[in-house]
Amino acid sequence: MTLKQPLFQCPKPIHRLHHFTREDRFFIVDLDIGQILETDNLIWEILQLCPESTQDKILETLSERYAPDHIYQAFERLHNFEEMGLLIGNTGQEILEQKNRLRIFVAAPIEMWTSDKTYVRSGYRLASKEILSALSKYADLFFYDSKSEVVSDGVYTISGGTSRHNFLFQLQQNQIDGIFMPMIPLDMVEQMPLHLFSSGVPVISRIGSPRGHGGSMIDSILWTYAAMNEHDAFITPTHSIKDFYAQHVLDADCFHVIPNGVDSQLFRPIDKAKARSQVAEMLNRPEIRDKKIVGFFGRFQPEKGAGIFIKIAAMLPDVLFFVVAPTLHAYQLQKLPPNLIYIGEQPPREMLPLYLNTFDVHCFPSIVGEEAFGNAVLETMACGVPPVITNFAGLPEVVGDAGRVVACQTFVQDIGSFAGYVQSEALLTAIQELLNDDAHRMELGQRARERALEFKWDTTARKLVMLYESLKRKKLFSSRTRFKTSFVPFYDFSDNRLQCQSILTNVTEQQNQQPLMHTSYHQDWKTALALTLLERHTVHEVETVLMHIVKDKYSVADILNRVNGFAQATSP
Amino acid sequence: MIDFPITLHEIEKFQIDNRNYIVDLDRNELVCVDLVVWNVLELGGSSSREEIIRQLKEQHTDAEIFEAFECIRQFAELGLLVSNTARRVPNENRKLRLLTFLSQIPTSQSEDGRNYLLLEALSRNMDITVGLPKDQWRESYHDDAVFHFMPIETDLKRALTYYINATYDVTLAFAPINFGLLSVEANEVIPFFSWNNVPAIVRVYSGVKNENAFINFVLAVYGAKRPFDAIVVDAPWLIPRFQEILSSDIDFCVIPDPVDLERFKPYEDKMIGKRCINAIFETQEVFQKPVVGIIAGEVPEINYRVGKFIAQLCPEFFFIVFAPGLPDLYLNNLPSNLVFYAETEQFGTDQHLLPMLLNAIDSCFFHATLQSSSSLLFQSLACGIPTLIGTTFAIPELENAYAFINSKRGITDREYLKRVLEDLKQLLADPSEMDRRSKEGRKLAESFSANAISAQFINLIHALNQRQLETQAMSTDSPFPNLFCYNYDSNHGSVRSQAMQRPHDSSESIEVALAKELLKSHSRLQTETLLTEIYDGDRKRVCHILDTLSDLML
Repeated sequence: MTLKQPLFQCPKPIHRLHHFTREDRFFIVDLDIGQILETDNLIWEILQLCPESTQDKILETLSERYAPDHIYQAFERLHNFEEMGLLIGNTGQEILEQKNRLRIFVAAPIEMWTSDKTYVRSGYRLASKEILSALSKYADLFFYDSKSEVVSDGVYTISGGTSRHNFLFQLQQNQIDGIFMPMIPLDMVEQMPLHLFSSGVPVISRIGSPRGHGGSMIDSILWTYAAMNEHDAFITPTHSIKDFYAQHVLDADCFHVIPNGVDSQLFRPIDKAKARSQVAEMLNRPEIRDKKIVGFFGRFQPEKGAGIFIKIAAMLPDVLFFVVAPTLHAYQLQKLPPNLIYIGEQPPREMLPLYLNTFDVHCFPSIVGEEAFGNAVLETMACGVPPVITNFAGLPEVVGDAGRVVACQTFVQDIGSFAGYVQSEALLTAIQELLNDDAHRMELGQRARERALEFKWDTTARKLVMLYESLKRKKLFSSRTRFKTSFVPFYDFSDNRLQCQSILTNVTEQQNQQPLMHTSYHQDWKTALALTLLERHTVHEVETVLMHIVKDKYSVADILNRVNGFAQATSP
Repeated sequence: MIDFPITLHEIEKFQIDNRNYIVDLDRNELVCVDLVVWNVLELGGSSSREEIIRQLKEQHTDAEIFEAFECIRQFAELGLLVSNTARRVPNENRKLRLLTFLSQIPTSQSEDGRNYLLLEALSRNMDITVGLPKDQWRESYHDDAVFHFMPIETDLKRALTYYINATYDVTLAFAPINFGLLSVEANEVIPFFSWNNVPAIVRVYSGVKNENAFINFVLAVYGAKRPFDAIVVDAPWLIPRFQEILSSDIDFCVIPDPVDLERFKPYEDKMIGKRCINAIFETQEVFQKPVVGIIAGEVPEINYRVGKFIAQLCPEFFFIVFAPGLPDLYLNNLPSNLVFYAETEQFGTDQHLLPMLLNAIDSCFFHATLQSSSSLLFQSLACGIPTLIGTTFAIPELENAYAFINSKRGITDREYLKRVLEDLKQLLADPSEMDRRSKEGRKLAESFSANAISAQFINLIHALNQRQLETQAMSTDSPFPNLFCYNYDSNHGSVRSQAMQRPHDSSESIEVALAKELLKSHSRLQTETLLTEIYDGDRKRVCHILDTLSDLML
């Protein structure tokens, strides 16, 4: 009889396993994954031999008691299990046990870590990667994947929880200290990971796009707001986002401002003449060598101000307008001014500083509703180029006094792509003034570089770690109420109508620690409603409901404070 | 709140590397728990809450143990490890066990003697335990032939829960007999429903002095009651009043008090009673005129005015008004054909006085209001007194036997009282009709014997236990509560509140979500009350929401 070579190869490490039988049924518990498998004794025996022996040795050992056919079938099943990330393989548990760093579960697929950033086009995505990479210096990171394994030192995957409960088990097994959502999913209905917020560990969600994407983002953020607990937080790179949401929600304190950083080693000033001559040669545009250059760096789209940029180019024919962008989008079909040069294609990230260093002035006329920070502006500033920007969203906070900020109208209510308005003439004037005053331009360039040096990804990561620590402390102080509320119908004979009378009954789990002196306690119904809902809902959800009922921010804040005070005072 | 002992799923427990794992084989889930939870689960299958605390005291602090209870409750909410706490389910072959709460030892002589009478009737087919407040408890209390006694420590009501759940089929509470100006008493009764998961019955009597406080008490209890609890009233005429207030159907049960058919029975000779009246009130008129009894309510002023009006209008009859608690000051300057009898308690100095007085009456008039007590009516019927009854809803069973008189303005309506007198004259002039009513009345009273009432209660208790099983089976409490959240309204540039259903995410209006959420922990009426308050008294809209929801749930 010839048997085909089994797919299952040994020796191999196995997960931490436990087995037990129940009424002739045989179970194996995979403690690394949190899964229970019903299987048989043969599989268990093979697994016991697996770390030490080859498959041939196993076959030899077991063939005394099992038919070879059965053993081969078992090998096949084990191969399948292995493919599914079950039972077999190294999950990095041992390494974990030894470390004593913060452990952060990153609510994002592992691709966010492994993918290449050479051609990344979105500042939001890029910043997410940079933050994770800076954070990995201070914390172990855990990502979702189909298998649990060690990706690199301090970076692990855990297999996607098969249920909410399994997910919580994994968090507990891996002793996760906090959860980080680097990008809030755009379409929350499909992707909203609400179970993250019931895990009991602090969740930090990062907002990189305050209101763009046709309004989907604002709702995603509002849903996250509703789901978060007192020990969870948002981080935003600038105050502008915090201020934007503060007009709509009561609790602006859950928005923490942690600015982005910039890689000032990569993005640094280089000799302008050299850079220009190199780029002139590469693009075969000799005029780059000696003309003044106004640069555009970012996606060349209407809402990023591409149209304005073209208009200004047409008005200043003696100046070169150099577009560093992945594509020209719809503008490639238009007749563009002859003094507007397009780089041709998206350069790899390492090449960017070379191009940016050709700029005399960086014009960033964006009015897009997702302009949270302006990584592109900061990167160009790091190359010592003074920016001309719109006074819009997070941009002025980044630029500070190291560039020209042109007045711009912001439409607070606009949630779509165009969320502002800037006059092209004003931008033109600012650009002309800078181009004509060499000394001032140089000085601003110098200042831009200095300011850019203040923004470090390492600082971002350290602030994030500190925020986790403070949220963990906050969790210790959070308290829950345990009163039974009654909404008693009460007929008011003087008014001839039924009313609602709210009573808290002083019934607690801990018999000897009744927090109230009396067996029952009258409350106004709004407070009682808030207390009732808090049993199963977050403070922010209660805020939502109260806003619907009371329709007045101050009264709602008042009720929430009262409830909070009540909970603090009565919790054991 | 989780009751111990708990029923565990099929589980496998093991410890590896100082961690405590539990496999839930029914759910195919693995959990890792703290040692204290592990220990509690070890004991929880067979021990009570107190037992667990006692056994783990050495190892864990109280706070840790309570935290573990809470943790297990959360598991139960997720449907993990623990089955819904099982309760003793009654079966037809054994005696039902009833626990009642009284403030003192029940006796037939006390003010709440009717409680005793009811309990005594129930004790014929059930085991009755009387719970008494700890401070009322005396070591000398011993079980007697009728009752068991148990001290209830009111501070530790919840500590009794597990015991009650495991021991009793039903609990019974009595509404207070005297209401003060405020309905604070209700606050004491409401927690009653949350102590345990045993069906609860609240006994409510008609014949109250302070109608407003009484109504609010009943409303509060009615609001707090769970689907498997019942409010049992002694008279059907309570129901329309509450229907009017709540503008909805009311599901009170109607079971009258048992009537002592031996004591209250038709006497051969009405002269015994008349002589008795003569002796008490020193009046000769009782022998000269037909005697008409008026069973009045609990409001002395009304009784006084009605009695005087009727007596003056109809000097050819002698009237005896059974007016509980009428103060002496009303007893001066009465017409000579009118007397008031204030001692309507069932047992006075002489057990047979009341039956004797009732037997002096040739015909009787009863007007049904919240203030009028049912027991006196049924006792009078048991004595075979032909009776006129005001308002059609009083006793549906007697509709064929009695001509009802309706009054829009209640008993103080003069035109109504004149008609009553006309009908009384007509009745007294027709011996065959008198005889027919007498027999019908006695027959009805016979259906309220102690045994019959006891049987009605037993049926009710079985029905409530059945309903509780159904309620448990129907409960589909999702571990994912709705998410209340803001939604950006770009037309207005502001946020609005809405709700997301979990786990099948779809948005829904906040009022529907709020209604759903409240129904999880509150009764339909309480939910309705609060939502009506929220939506500016728009009860119709609220009822529509709740009706739609209950349709959906079915």
